[in-house]
Amino acid sequence: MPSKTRKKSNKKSKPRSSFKKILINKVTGSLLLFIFLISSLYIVYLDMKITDKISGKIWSFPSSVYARPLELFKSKKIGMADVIAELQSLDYIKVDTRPNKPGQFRVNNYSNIEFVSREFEFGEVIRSSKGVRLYIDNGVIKNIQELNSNQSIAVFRLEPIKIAGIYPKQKEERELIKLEDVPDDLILALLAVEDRRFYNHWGIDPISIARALFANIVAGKTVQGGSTLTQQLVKNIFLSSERTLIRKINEAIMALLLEFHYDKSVILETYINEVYLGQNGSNQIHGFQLASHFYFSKPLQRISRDQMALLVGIVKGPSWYEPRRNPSRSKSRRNQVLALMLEQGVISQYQYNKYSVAALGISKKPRLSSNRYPALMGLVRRQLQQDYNEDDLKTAGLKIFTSIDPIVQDKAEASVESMIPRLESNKLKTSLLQTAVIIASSEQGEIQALVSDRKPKFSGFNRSLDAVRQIGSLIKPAIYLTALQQSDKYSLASMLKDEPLHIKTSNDDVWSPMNYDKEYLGDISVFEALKNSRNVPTVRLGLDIGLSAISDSLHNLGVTRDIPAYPSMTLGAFNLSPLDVANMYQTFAADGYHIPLRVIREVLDKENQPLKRYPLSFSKSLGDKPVHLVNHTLHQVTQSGTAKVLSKTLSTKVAGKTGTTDDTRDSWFAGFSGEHLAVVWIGRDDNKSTGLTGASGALRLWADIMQHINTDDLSLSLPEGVTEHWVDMKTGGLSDKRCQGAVKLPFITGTEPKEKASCTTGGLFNQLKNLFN
Amino acid sequence: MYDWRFIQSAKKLIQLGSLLTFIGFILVTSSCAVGPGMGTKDDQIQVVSILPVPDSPKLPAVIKRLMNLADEQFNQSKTSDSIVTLERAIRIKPRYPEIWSRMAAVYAHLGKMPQAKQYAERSNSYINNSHPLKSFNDDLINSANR
Repeated sequence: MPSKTRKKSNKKSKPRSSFKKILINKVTGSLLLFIFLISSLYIVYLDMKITDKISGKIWSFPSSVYARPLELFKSKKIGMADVIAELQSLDYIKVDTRPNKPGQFRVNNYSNIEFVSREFEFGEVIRSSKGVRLYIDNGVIKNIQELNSNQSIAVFRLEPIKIAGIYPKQKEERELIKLEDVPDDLILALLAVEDRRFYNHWGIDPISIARALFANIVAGKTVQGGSTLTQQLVKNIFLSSERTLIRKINEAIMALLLEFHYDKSVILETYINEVYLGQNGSNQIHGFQLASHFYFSKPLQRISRDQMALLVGIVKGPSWYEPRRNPSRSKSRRNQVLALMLEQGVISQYQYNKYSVAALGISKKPRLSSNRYPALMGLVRRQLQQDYNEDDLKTAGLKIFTSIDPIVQDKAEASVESMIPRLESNKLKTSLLQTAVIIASSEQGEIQALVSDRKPKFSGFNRSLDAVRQIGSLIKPAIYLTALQQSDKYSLASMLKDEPLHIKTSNDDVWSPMNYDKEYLGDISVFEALKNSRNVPTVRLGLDIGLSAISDSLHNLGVTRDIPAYPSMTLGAFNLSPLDVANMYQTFAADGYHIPLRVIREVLDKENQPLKRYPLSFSKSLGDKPVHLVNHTLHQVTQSGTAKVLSKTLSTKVAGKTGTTDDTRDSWFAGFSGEHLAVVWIGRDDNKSTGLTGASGALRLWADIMQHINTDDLSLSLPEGVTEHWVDMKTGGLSDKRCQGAVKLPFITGTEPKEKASCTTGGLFNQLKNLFN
Repeated sequence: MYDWRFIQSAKKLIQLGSLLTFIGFILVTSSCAVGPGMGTKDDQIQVVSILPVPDSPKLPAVIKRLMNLADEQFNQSKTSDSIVTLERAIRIKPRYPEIWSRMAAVYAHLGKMPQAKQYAERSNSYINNSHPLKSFNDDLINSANR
């Protein structure tokens, strides 16, 4: 029975085992097929990943923001120190002999400076490198010559300073270089150190791997890597730096695929632009070209062989061999590279001896500027975001040309840093004063400088753009402009009442506006009321011409916010930002042409092709005659009105208006010369009293800034249809210029006073004085 | 039989389609030739002429140089570059009516009459009635108003 059973079972086991075999074979086959299919799909996936990336956008390029290019021409007001500062900001190197390479300058006896400019691609023209000699005397350019021929040049435009970058989260910076522009010696040094058999392998190099394996076994630790440049590139672009078998397998497959698809020159060029070579604060330095600027302040084409050896040496460990922090360690690494270059025949023994004792030649400060002007960049970003999405700004490598003037900006910052503590020590014993400053060109509305904090480099709340505060008496020119537009009713000689006033408000309260000096002067001319910033006559005038008419004028002047229609708005009891105020006063500065303030001139793409221009645009919604009458009065404000201190402290002819709000919470001054408009606000973030009026606070800072920047006199030429007459300020009647209290005022033709004032000459002394006026 | 009829009607459809396309093409090209765009361009060309850069000793060398450069760019049909150069000149010396007037002429050439008018008015704001540029600016303003 047992045997039978066994037999039976044997009989049965034959087909069962063959079935099993078939089954196993089939399963194994299917499994292999499955693995093959999955592997194939995976390889296809890796292949797609490579081709997508290499043929598409490999890198993210931060956008670069440039200052205005400095224009140099005969009669321009600029000091020698400012020219030197500009050249140094552009990383020009001071030399003792006559400059002969782009990026060099020499100062001769402080009246003559020579430099060789670098080539620069402006939007509309490529400006080639040029040798230039400037003669400056007493802060004015007297002559510009071509360095070699001594021929006069009418105008020369320096390349603009890069003042900031707009970075992606990773903060990678790089400057692309084409392979044909890379010095041969750098390529030879790189291959000698990193991948000697680069031109003989297909992405992975078994000989190098075996050599590295042997070296590592002998040393008992990892002393050599066998990765080719292609593998390193794959790791840098596609993979992480973790040391796992899977990563190594992926790296090998992808290296083979990369070599299969692309020429060696493409791989080498990509490597040269991709490799990580250091850290500039939070920004990563990628590629040899940028690293050359970062460490030596020179382009790759201009560095010496020993400097090339240092850059190649840094590849092994950018942090470990960082030459500014670890000069001796990086020097020894450089010499290792030089030894390999000697061994490979890239340099001679003589050159090795010379280079290996040379100093590292590292520049003192990195050329790359991070964000020099954070508040200004806030404005640039806001204006850019109207036309570009954030991702493009961070990755598309745009070149953004702005109107920012580093000379004006630096001086405004210096004034803020020195004046705010002085103003505090006078009135407050705390460090709570804050400030905002905006400076723009009068005629074009281009913002040149912007400060938003008492510590200008601090990147926080942007007060220039976002601090909305009551504007106080800064509203007054808009009210008087509205009145003077009604020329049949008002002229500068029209009389107003400076007498107590009580107004019933909508909730049955009574509002009684007061003058700052708490006094009333009786009858007062429009001219005197604005010049001396009298509150009560201004409220009377405002109510007479209508709140909605004032609101319309404010909008015509460029204010875009809603203006409340209640009586106290006539004393500026509504909120505007310093930028709003600058927009409003810009229209006065440009003789009634409203030019929306702008900071961006042009945007180019990565290939220097223009993407968008922001041309000068303006509109005329106000008559030039009433605007002239207001500007004339605003000039008199700085001569004998609330800002008369300027007549003593400033040699330039300017116009402007002070502003103070209740309890001296806000101190304002807005004013302009022929070239610059500047608005200054001083206050506290907690909106408490500063103890400063417009004249004792903002005006002093404004004056300090204007004293330091080079600016032109205000032009007050009479428009067609405006004539000047002598007027008696007590009665508003026509007067003789020898009469006491007579003032010469402009009038729109036909609106001059008809009555003659009874003249009091003021005695012999005044008559004699007037003879000499 | 059915197939043959289908081919016949397909042929007819193709013929009809070709005919309609041809008629459409004729209509489109003829409307372009006589449309308002063409007439406007002629008007613009009539009012625009670039005056020679004045040889006035009052005009600084820097402005003469930039105006000449802008003219070169204009003559090479690089009108947007010409505008950039004139804006450069305005930044350097904003109160010279010659530059604003030149800018007005370039905008008029581009058919941008509102801008041309604004620049011509701005130029006028720096000059009196006897200035030689006045009539040039006024012609531009009148053309823009028409």
